[in-house]
This record gives sequence, C-alpha cells and structure tokens, in this order.
Amino acid sequence: MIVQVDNLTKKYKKEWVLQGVQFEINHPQIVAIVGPNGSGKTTLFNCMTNLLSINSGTIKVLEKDYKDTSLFYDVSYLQDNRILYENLTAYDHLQFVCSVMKQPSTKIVEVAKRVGMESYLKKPVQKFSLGMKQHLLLAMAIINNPKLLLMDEPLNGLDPSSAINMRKILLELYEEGTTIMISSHNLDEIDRLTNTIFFMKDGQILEESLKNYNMKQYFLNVNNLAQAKDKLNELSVSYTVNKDDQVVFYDNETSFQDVLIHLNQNDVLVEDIDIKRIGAEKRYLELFERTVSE
Amino acid sequence: MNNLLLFESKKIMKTLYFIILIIALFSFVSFYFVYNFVHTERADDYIYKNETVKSNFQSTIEELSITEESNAANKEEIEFFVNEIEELDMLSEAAKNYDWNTILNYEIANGEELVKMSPSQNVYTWPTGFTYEVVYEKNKWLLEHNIQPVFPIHSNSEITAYDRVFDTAIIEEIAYDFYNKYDSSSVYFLYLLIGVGLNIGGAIFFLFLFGNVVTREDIGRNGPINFLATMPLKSWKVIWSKLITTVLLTFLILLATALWGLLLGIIFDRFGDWNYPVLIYKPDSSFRFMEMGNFILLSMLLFFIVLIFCYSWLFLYSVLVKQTFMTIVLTIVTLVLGNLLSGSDIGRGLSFAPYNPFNYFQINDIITMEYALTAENFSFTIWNGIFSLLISSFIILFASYLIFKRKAK
Repeated sequence: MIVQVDNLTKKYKKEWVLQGVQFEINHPQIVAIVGPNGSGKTTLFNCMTNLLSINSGTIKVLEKDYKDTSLFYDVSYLQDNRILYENLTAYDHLQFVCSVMKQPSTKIVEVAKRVGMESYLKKPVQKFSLGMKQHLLLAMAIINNPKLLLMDEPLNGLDPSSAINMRKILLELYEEGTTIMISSHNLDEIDRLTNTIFFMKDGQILEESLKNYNMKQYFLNVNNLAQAKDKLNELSVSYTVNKDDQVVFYDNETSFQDVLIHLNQNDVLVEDIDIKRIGAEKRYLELFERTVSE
Repeated sequence: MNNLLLFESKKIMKTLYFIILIIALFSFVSFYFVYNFVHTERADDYIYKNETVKSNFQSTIEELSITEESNAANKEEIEFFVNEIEELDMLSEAAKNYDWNTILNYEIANGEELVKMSPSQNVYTWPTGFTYEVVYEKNKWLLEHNIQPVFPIHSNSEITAYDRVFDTAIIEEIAYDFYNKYDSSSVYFLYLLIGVGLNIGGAIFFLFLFGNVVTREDIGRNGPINFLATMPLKSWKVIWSKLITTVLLTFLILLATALWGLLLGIIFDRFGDWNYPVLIYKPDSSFRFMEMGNFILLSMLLFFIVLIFCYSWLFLYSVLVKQTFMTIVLTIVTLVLGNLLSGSDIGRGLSFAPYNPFNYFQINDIITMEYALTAENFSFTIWNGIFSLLISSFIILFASYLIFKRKAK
C-alpha cells in the first residue's frame, strides 16, 4: 500500500474543505488530481503531509502514519514557490535537502543537470523567473529518489520545453517505481502523463471518477436497442443512449467482456463497437457539467 | 542538527540587511575608538597640562614678586608656588620617562591626606569622602600591581554613585571633564565600549539584527516553514535550531566586536592591563575592586543572557503577529516598558524585584552593584539576574513553541 486515505475531513474556519475523502493507491502509478480552484486539491496534499491538521479520518502513507516525519525520507512534496528562501541560492537549497536526506553532495550537480538548471545553480532565488523556481522545486523534490512524490501545480510558469522536460523526468521517475500524485489545471499535460485522474469538487473526490479512472468509453451499435437496454439493466451497468442510438458506457476491459457475453447470450447482436479513450478534459467537462446541472 | 544550524546561519547572513547592520556595528566601534584615541590623555598631554599649570604659577610668582607691598604672607605664597612648580617638574620628568610609580606615589600621598581630612559621612562634600578613598585605594592598587594608570588619576578623577548630586549643570559638566573616561588601550577601550553598548540600546540593535529569524518563515501562510515541515525533521528541532543559531551568531558577533576593539587598541595604542581596577560597591559605604578583565567577561555574560531574554520575546511575538516590523516594535515596546516600570522606585522596591528580569538591562550598574546601591537592595546581583533571565526566557520560549505548533497547522 502506498497511500490509503479513509474518510478524511478538514474544516477551515467554518467551511468544510475536505468532506470524507477516500481513496487508495496500491501500486506505483501517476495519479492526477483535477478540480476547480478551491476544490480541496492543495488541502488534500497538505493534510497528507501533516502541514494541516485534520478533523477526522485516517491517512496512511507507505504503511506509516502520516504524522511520522521519517516518512519524508521517501515522500517529497513539491509545493508553491513561496517556500523558497529568496536570499539563498539554488545550491544552498539543494545542499540543505541533500544533507537532511543523507544524500551525497554529488547529487546536487547530478539533479541540476537532470532538471536543466546547472547554469543558475549559484544564483540567488530572488533573481529567478517563475519557471526557474519550478525547476528548483522539482530538483529539491527528486534529489532523494522518493517513493511517493506529491506535486502541487508543478507546471505553473513552465515554458513548453521545460514542461516537456518535466514530463520526461516524471515518466522516468514513474518507470523507476515512484508514485506521483500531481495536481494541475493543465489537462493536456495530464493526459500525456496518466489516465488515472481523481476529480475533486467541493472537498470530495467524485466517486464516479474513482470508479472510472483509467477507463475507456464504449459506443455500441446493436440490432435491438430496447432489448439491449433491458439486458444492460439486468447487469446494473450504467449507460446512456446517444442521439445516434448508440449505447454508451464506461468500463474497464473485463466488464466490457461481461457486457458483450451477456448481450450475445440474450440474442442482442452487437453490430459495431467504437472505443474511445476518454481525455481528461472531456471527463472533466462531463463530470463537472453533470454535477453543476444536478 | 548541524545541517539545520548551517542552513539557518546562511539564511541570516546572506541578507543585505544583516551585512549592512554588521558593517554599521564595526564602523561604530571603529569611530568610537578614534574618538577615544583622540581624547586619551597621554604622557605628553600630562606634561603639557603640568606645563600650563606651571606657567600659571610662574606668572603668579612674578605678580607677587613685583608687588610693592611685599610682605611675609607674599613670601609664603611664593614659596608655596615654587614648591608646586618643583613638584610639577618632578611629575613631568617622571611622565617623560614613563615612570608611573613616581606619579602614583605622589597621588597616593595626596590622597592619603585627603582621606584623613575628609569629614564624617554625615557631612556632604563634593567629591565625597567615599570617592577620595576610592581614588586613593585605586592608585594604591595600580602601584601594587605595577599598572600604567589611565589619566587623569588625581583626587577628582572619579565620580562615584555618592557624588551624583550636582548643585548646577556647570558643576556637573566640570566634574565630568575631570573624570577619566577616555583611553584607547585595548582592555580599557573594551571597558568603555561595554559602558556605551551593553544596555537596552545594544539589545535593540540585536533585535533588529535577528528580527526576522522566525517571521521570514511565514508561519501559517504556506511560506518557507512548509518546506522545513516537509523534511524529515522534528518541529522542535526547527524552532530550536533557530534559537541556537541566533544565540551562536550573537556570541560570535559579541566576540568579534570585542576582538576588533582589542585589535584596534593593540595596533594603534597598547594592550593595557587586564587587572586594572573597577569599583564595585558593597553595603554600608564600603567597596572593593574587580579586575577589569573579569568585569568585561561578566558584563558580556550578563548581556548575552539579557539578549536570550530579548530573543524569547522576539520569538513569542514572531509566532503571534508573524510580521517582522510589528514583531520588532512589540518586542522593543515590551522591553522598554518593562525596563522603565521595573526601574522605577516602586518597581525596584517590590519584594520580588531582584527576580524581575527587566531589572537587569543596565549591565554596568548591575556588575558594579551601583544598581543595588541606588535601589538599596543588594540582592540585585549578576547571579540573581542570570537566574531570573534564564528562567523567564525558558518559560516564554516554551509558550512560543506551543503557539508555533498550533499556528503552523
């Protein structure tokens, strides 16, 4: 188990910022947290790292209680650039992280090269652009090869080539076994990183987004729509019928096979199947438009 | 912990503000040294003074000699001035040869007479009999320890707590003109520097120097404290490292300032005498001397503890108001008010006053026991001061830590 969050609530002043957040991550993957401003993404990360106290619920990270500070040897949190000390150089920051994380100082140059910030390693942060600060934050977050990397809006202020480089680094880290939880508004970039997206709204992870993450959308043309609907209702599959009389539903591969078998056994002929991978933007619009209209 | 201390030091020292204040501190010490150097009375000045007096005496003798009504009284007066001139010549000659013993012996003989002639303590004279005795004993100490005196050393060269009543401002001005308050030898300069620097003003300077140690972390505002909080570090270590770094840097700055003062003296004058006598008041109009070196060390120790007390307030306000300027202002207001209220007659008269930490900001007066003398309570000792300052600092710091833990979330 990498992360286990159970019924997490957080109240700030009189407002509930997190309301029963619940999820598990059991194997290394990249998980995106997507939601409008104020939906509780940063608060979730802050609670997971004990920067904020919680009102109720449990959080376990790498099989340990989230309050255990020794977790930070294996967990990194890339935060807002306000955490940087303006009068110190990038080198000063990295040297400190290196020494606390008990990493050799050779790692400083190594990670600076990886991130592409060797040229301004010795410059004070106050002379950095937004993008340079993001580079430094990334370097600080990955210098200890974390098992879990939490990233709050890491793509802010990055130019296209930096964003590409960051994506490359994140995919490399994922390949190396790091679980990455990333919050971002850049849905295109999220799409390039992962299919696993937790959509958040009003302090909750939308249940449907949990069920359907890493899913595809299926469009079935059937010979008998009425019968197909009856049979699908028997299976308790949630579906819709679009204007082209196609049966549309989300599922993973296994359930899809169950649906096909069930329809076939009940003499519903599936004439054509169209499978679409659901983009983050589309899912976002679907989920949020629906919740707004509801 | 070491990495935290190093990081904290970098955060403090790598700011232009800190560098400017340190340069200002060392410039002040240097200018104060120049001021003392210029005003130091050296052998040449001593001889010049004697020559001036001598020439006045000679003019008087001439005037008395040409007076038509030359009589026995005049002759006696002329004889007196001739003797005085001979003594002045002898003293000038001694100064020319750096023969301090001759000069000291002369002043001791004079002092002995004055002490004998001093009326009882109930009769007010200026300077008081106490002061004459102090000067006499001081000169004896200088002679016994073979110490080069800091001029002037005559009977009116000391102002003690018993003398600080002046009929007019002019008398006060004249009195302070006689008073030996300048010397550029290393040890004595350091002693003088302590007099001007180790007080509430000096403490305020250090508050400005370290005013943003805690506030720069932007506690509760997603500031750099969140970076430290997401490192494998205990929160008490974070706040503790700030205090230790501040205290260590304070120690180093005090040490460096003292060494700079000593160095200036050595380069441009002389080292001076570690065992130069400093007056310490005792009850019942008695006194003793403390070696100047010990006095300097004790002063620096007490000031250091006073600074820890000031930092504890600074830390408390830092976690409460989280804004540097307001933190410094509130700390200064607390310290100044505390100092004023505690230092008032009512404040010093309270039974627990010797355990009130605000009473220990006048470093010089505490160690010389002048504070105890004027408060008529000899429980105002450096050790009571250190005890009360440390205990109250600990309580305030502990409260600050609890608030920090609460506010950080």
